[in-house]
Formats: sequence, C-alpha cells, structure tokens
Amino acid sequence: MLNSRKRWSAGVAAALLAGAVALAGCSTPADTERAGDEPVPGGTLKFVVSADANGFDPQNDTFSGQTNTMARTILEPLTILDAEGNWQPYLAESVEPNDDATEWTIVLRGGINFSNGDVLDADVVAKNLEGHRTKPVNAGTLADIESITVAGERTVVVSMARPWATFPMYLTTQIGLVVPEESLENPDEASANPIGTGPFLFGKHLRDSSLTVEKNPDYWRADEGLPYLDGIEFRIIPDDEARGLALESGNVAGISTRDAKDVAKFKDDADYIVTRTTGMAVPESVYVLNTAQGALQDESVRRALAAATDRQTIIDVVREGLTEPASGPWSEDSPWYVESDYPDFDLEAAQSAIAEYEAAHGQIELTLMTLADASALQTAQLVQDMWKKAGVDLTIDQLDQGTLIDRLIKGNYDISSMVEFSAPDPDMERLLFHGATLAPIGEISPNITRIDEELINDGFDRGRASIDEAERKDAYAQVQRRLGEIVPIIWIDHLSTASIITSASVGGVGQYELPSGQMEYGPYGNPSPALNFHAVWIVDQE
Amino acid sequence: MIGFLATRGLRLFAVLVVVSFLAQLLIELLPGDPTTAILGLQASPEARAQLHSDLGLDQDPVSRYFSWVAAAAQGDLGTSISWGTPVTDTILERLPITLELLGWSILLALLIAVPLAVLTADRPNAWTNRIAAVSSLTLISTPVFILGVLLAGVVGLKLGWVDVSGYVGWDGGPGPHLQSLALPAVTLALGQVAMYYRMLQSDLLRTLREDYLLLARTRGFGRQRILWVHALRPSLTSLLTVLGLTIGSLIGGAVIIESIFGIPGLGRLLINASLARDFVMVQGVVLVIGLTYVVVNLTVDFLYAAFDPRIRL
Repeated sequence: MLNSRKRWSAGVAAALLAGAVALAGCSTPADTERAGDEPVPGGTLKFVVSADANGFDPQNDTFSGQTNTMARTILEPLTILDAEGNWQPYLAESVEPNDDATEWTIVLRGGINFSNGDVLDADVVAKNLEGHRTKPVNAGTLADIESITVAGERTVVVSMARPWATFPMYLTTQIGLVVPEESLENPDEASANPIGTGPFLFGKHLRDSSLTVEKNPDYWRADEGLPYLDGIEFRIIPDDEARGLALESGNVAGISTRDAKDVAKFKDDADYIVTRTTGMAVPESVYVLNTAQGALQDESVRRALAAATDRQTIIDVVREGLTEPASGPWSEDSPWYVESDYPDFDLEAAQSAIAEYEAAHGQIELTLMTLADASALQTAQLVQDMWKKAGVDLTIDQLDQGTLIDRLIKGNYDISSMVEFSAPDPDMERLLFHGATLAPIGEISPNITRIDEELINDGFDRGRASIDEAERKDAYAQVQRRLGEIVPIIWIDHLSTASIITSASVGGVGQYELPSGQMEYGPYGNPSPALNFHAVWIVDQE
Repeated sequence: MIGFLATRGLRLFAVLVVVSFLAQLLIELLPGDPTTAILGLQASPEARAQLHSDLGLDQDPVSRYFSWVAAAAQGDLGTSISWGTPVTDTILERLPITLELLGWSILLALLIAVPLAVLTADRPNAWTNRIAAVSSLTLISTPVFILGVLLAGVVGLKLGWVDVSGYVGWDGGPGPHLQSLALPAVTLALGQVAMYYRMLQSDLLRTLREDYLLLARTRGFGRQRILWVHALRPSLTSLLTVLGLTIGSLIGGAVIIESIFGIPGLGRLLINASLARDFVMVQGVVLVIGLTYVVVNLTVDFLYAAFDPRIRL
C-alpha cells in the first residue's frame, strides 16, 4: 500500500504525464468555415495591428500604416488608389488640372454627410486643405500651394506656385482625409474621437490595447450594402510572435505584418489567406549611405560595398526566400521600374576596389546603425560578414527608432538600415533625394544620403511637373539609372512579405469596388500594410 | 510611530525628487527629439522648428523641470507631447491595470511558493525538494519574455485555454477580463515563485531549528500545526523584504510582459513614451512608479511589525 507521500508523488507524476500527452495531442482550433464569393453581411471582425495610433486627427497626427488601417474605417480621402496604383476621385467627383498643372479644380460628390450630420461641401474641404498647408505635419509637403479658393458649393480651386502634376496623388494620403468643422476647431477631440464620412463610426479606444468601430448606418454607399461588417475590433499587439499566435489560435481573424516568418507559416495553409503587397506598395529594405563623409564619399567604395552584398543569401536566410533582390526603389512589377547599372554581387570586384582604396587611404572602418529587432540584427550580421570578406570592418550599432532617425536626418552616421519607399508615386520620394532639401552635416536634412545630383534633381523636377505619362516615366528612369550608378543606397530586397493575413473565413480583402468602377489598391503602407474594410466580410460571425 | 512616519515621509519626498530629476536628465541626454518621432523623416526643418515651438520645447530644460515640479505638486503632471492628453489622466487609466496585474502575479506566486516552501522545509531531503530546487533555479534563470512567449504558445495556442489576443477590460465581462490577465500574471508569477520559495524555505529551515519549536515537538504538537502556525509566521519577515524589493523587478517584468500580451498598463506606456521622446509622459510615469515602490516598501515596514511582535516602529 502506498503511503501518503508516495500517493502525492504518484499524483504529481500522473499530472505531468497527462499534461505531456495533452500537449502532444492538441492541435490548433476547430475547422475554419471558409468565406465564399458572395459577401455575407453582419458580424464583428477582430483584427490585429502592431502599434496604436498617436491620434486620429489627420491634421495634427502623423499616420503610419497601422493608423491608416484603423482611421480609414472612419475617415475617407478626396481621392483613392485603384488596383493599378493610379488615383481615382473618391469623396471628390472629379479632380482636374489646368494645362500646366498649376491649378487643380476639385468638384465634390453631392449627398455626402459627415456622421455628425454636417454636409461635405467646398467650404469644409478648403478649410481642411488650408489646415494641412499651415500645420507642421504636412506643411513641407504642401509648400508649393499658393492659394485654396472656394469656387462654388462643391468646388474648390487649388493654385500652385509651380506645376504639380501629382497633387491628386497626395490627396490619397492623410492630406486628403476630410474632417468636419467641429474637428478642425477642436484638434484634441478630433484626435481622440474622430468624425468622418466613412463606413464605420468611432466606438471605443483603449490606448495601446484596442479600438472598436461600429457600422455607420447612414454611410453614403449604404444602398450598395456597404459596409458588410457590423463592426471591427482592432487589437494592438506589438510583439511579432504574439500576433502570429493570436491568429493561429483563432482568437482574431486577421493581422497586418511584414514578418517573413508569418508569411512562410500561413501561405500554404488552406485555413488562411495571405494577401501580400505588390508593385509600388512594396517597401524596400535598404542600407542608406552617408555620402558626405569618410570613405563613403568615394563612389568606387559605395559600389564595392554593393558588390560585396549577397542579397540572395540575405533573402534565403532572413526572409525565408520569399522576397526579390532590389536594385532600386521600385520593384519590377511597378510601372516605374527600369534596369540600372546597380552592381551585381561580385566579391572579387569588391575586394579589388576596396584594396585599391585602402592602399591609398588606409583601412575602411564603418559603423552601421540598425534597429534593435531580431531580423534587422540578423541581416546586419550577415552583411558584416560579407563586407569583412571584401576587406571592410563594420561595427553594428543597435539603436531605438528615435535615436536612429535623429542621427539619420542630422547626418551623424555612416550607414543606416531602413525600410522605406512604399509610396504609390515616385514623386513622393522626392524629398529623400532632391538637392533642394540638402543641408550640411549636423543640420536637419530630409535628403538623408546627402547627395546633390543634377540628373536626379532634374528627374524628380520633371516627374513632378509633367502630366504626360511617357515624360514622367522617362524622368524617373533617369533617376533610377543615376541612383544605380552612384549608389547612395545599398538595396537589399523588395519587402513583399508586408502582408495582410486573414483566416479563410474572411472575404473581401482587396476586393473593394470604388465608386469610379475600378477595384481598390491592395495592402499598402509602412511599416506594416493598411487595408480598406469597406468590402470585407466574415463568415463565422460572433 | 510619528518619528517613523516623518522619517519615511522625508525619504519618500527625497526619492521622488531624485527620481523625477534623473528621468528629466536621462531624457535630455538621449539623442532624438519628440518632433522627429512625430513628424518622421521627410518633414522640413521649418516644420520641425514650428512644432518644437508649439510644444514648448524651446524653453531651457532647467526651467522646464521646475515648471513641471510646481505643477506636479498640484497634481498636474503636464500634457503628453505625442498624444496631447493630460498625463495625470492617462496614468490614472493605466495604473489600475498594472497594479491589478502585479497584484494577481504576487498572489499567484505566494499561493504556489508558500505551500511549496512549507512542504519542502518539512522534509528537506525528499526528492520533491530537489525537484523544487532545480525548478526554481530554472525559473529564476529564464528571461521573462521567453517564459511569456512559451506560455502563450502552449496554453494559448496548443491548448487553446485562454484568449491571447490582448487585454479585455472589466466592461468586457469578468470572465474575459480575468482570462486576458491570466497568462501575463502567471508569467510574472513564475519568476517570483522561485525567489519567494527559496527565501521562505531557508528561513523556515532555520526557524524549525529554534528551541521553542523543538520544545513544541517534544510536547506533542502536530507537525502541520508546528509548520503552519508556529514556524511560518516568524519566517515571513525575509519574504516580506523580498516582496518589497522585488516590486521593482516586477514592474520591469511588467514592461516586457505588457508588450508581449498587449496589456495597456504603465509599463507599455513607459516604453512607448520613451520611444516617442515624450519626456513629459516619461517623467510622470517614472514618478508614479517611484511612488509605488516607496509606498509598497513602507507598507512592508508596517507588516514587519504585524508579523513579528519584537519589531517596534
């Protein structure tokens, strides 16, 4: 007979064994009911984003991809991107330029009201644009606007100091999001309780935790059955692993991510749908070079570093082989891509160029700033090893984002990792490369590589001013070719792992038909992609 | 008693002044600017200068600190730079969540550690004792973020016992609320169990060798009564000290755990405010964390007297 201590011990052992058996036998949650082709109205969707918004006021808060995901359920833009990446009128009925694109006439759709009952008219749109023009968040972008005039009940005329052919493209961004007068008058309230014309109404926001939005019964496309969902509950989970677990456990129905591990895990699983970014929406993972100091002033050194970088190995090791090597800011499936003279991987050529430079100037020692996250560090260590083989000593300096950006814009760095270039139009990358935004080291310069190249400045100027597509393509081809030659940036890959991943019970991602008849742009934005929820539906409703 | 309170009050004040000043100094020394975090890469120098002025950042740091202290003395901790909301209101929203999380984790840790310590102190050479010693060492050595992800994977995903999609407030119902805090609290508790267990067990072993307990045994008192009634209470003082001291490491753990499990507490607030260079918010949060630490340790001092009659305040 067992005494009490032995019985207790046997009990513990049995419990441990049962736990182990349970763990081995358990699997993921119950079978997923799949969404078909026909939208199903109703239900609440739980969706995870990695960071909360600082606020929802498009006039005073900077919108990230995550903010856009949440805010655009409530706020809507004057123009919107279609599946081809072109702008289409949205709250605007039309947006037309004069002959030289120095004046744009915006005519608004009739019959649209904000959720507080105010009418969307020319007066409020003009006040919105004027607000953007004068407030710090967007003042730099809109510096070319000379005047904004109300020319009728639904007509606003925007005059520019110089031709600006891509102006309507900017109205697809937070600059085009329109809020009513009461939000303009009370920014704190607009930031905390946004009001718009969108398909959902602001519900409850628990900062750093969740945002709930509820269906807007008076939405201006309600007669088309939109939106399908009764509501959305956004959950904020900053940890990469925890986001994937939340989706896999069935606790939420969708996540926004750019983590290659998530894409690799879910892409071949029939219970999930992975919608990856394409074309211009794909951000690029890059190493930015400070061309204004040290060895990196020398073009041959910059080209040698590019030649020493085996992009495919980085993709295989860090991105699970899922992305494509980059040689410029725009991916091959974008309309702006052209081939350039950007160096291919060639270790021998790199070794020879570095040896030649070092014979004249001594050992090259560089420091790479990178964010303190696992994949950025892994990439940095691979590059450190690759460049060592070419003869360059690289020190890795892990920093938080605030410090990294501060040093980047003031030129206090050699090399910095960055994920950027997901804007829908090349003109939107202009400030990063144009000589007009260049400042001496120590002063703030949006032109972070600190180049001042005539061909690049001219390309960006022509591309901004022309409404002729062929002329614009020629202008940006010139920019890409010159960037490929002088290598102010080492391009790693087109980060098409930026994705929306949903349970198969969710339908309609990327399937929103715009009022103009085109389909919407797919997932877009940085650091993790945004999507429109207008036409999203869910089968297993809660 | 009055002397004790006065001394502790003065210490409290000194700690808060030093902590808030160090927080300000730290933020001033860090590279980066709130306007960079707010405006990002592409903003013009003019736009940055305008925002700098709008946020009152063109004042010198010393006068900014003293203005902050003057307002803080009246309960106004300023306005958040990145959110534009009153810091006091935000902290009052977040503090109860973190306190609840810490409360549950301490309670859980005690519920596991105390019986385990009593049981193993009774039979120090049993195999259960050796297992407990090895387990506690493993738990102490395991970083809290690894423990958190492991638990989320096993309990949330494999077993599907709890929702791992973030925090649910009390207004979402007591069940979902407690479920959303269960894993974070267990994760934090496991790290503490080991420490509490080892501290209490070694005190218990010492107490059990005291003459009065040997006398109690010879008089025929039951083992359980000796352990739970006569040995446990005088052995609790070291555990209390550890409880007070580990509140700091618990708050540190909460900073990480709140991020992993999406809990909108004070720790998460501190991380986000630091990354955004929102020094007004950082200062407010650091002040409240400092205050919490001091108050907890003051409470521990009172508890000493309650548990050990030989101690007088």
